Amino acid sequence: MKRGEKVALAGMLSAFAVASGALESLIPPLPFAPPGFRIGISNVASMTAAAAVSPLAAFAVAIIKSVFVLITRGTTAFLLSVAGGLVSACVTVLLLRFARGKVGCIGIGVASAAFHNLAQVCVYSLIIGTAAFWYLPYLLILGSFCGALTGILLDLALRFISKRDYAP
Amino acid sequence: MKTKLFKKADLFIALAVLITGIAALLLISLSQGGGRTAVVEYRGETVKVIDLDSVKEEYTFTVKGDLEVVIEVSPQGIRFLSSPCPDKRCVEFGLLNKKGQVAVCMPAGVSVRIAGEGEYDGVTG
Repeated sequence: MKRGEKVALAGMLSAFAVASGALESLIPPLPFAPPGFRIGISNVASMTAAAAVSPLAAFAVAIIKSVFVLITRGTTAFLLSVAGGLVSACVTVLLLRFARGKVGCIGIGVASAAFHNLAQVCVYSLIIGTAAFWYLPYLLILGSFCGALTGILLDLALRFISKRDYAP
Repeated sequence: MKTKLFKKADLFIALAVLITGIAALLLISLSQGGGRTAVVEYRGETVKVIDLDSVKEEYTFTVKGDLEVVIEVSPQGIRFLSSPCPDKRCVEFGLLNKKGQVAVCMPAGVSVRIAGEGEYDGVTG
């Protein structure tokens, strides 16, 4: 991929992260999930950026998404979003750096979701106290399914990108 | 190298996360005594401890966190009745009646959770 194409792809992924984040907050929560729980579709964007563009692009996508959250939903939501986004991007980047070929998209999705939850609960606990950690088991269980789903979406995105004809 | 949809390591990652979550849930419900105690906290400090098993009739009380939230206690359990916060997530948690359940109102900084009786012996009120 040429530099221009990388920049364009990173931009599109950022737009997707912002849009899917906004849309996800509109749909009603899953019936058995705690309020505020989301599947994390926008996480697909930063994972795709990490796998197809560069680590830097993955962090950029996460930050751009969080800035949108800051504007629309305030500081607390921003802190939760940016902590989750950056930590899960870190995990994705590290897995791709050190275990590329050994882990698949589903593994990346699940690990990234788990650390996203962990980071958010840590920020949550700064605001609310240790009661926040009681929330973690539910998040991990639901997150492993939602992480697998985002992993499948990551695979679809990567297939789509690799099929595009990027003329040299 | 291309990243495939699924590798064997993925199964271990998914199982590790899932089992950690399930084990933590089991540990919470097994490690505590038989009784159910509701613990109301504001920013990590205990505001009120209620022995749910001795509640005979329904009543409500307010907690002055960063916002003033109303909590309802009944023989069935405990829940956020109302809150002036914009998103009302705390109310959406609904009734808590099993050990390990948590409801949180982030804007108010108030949380409610159900613990076993052992953890708060003698300080019920």
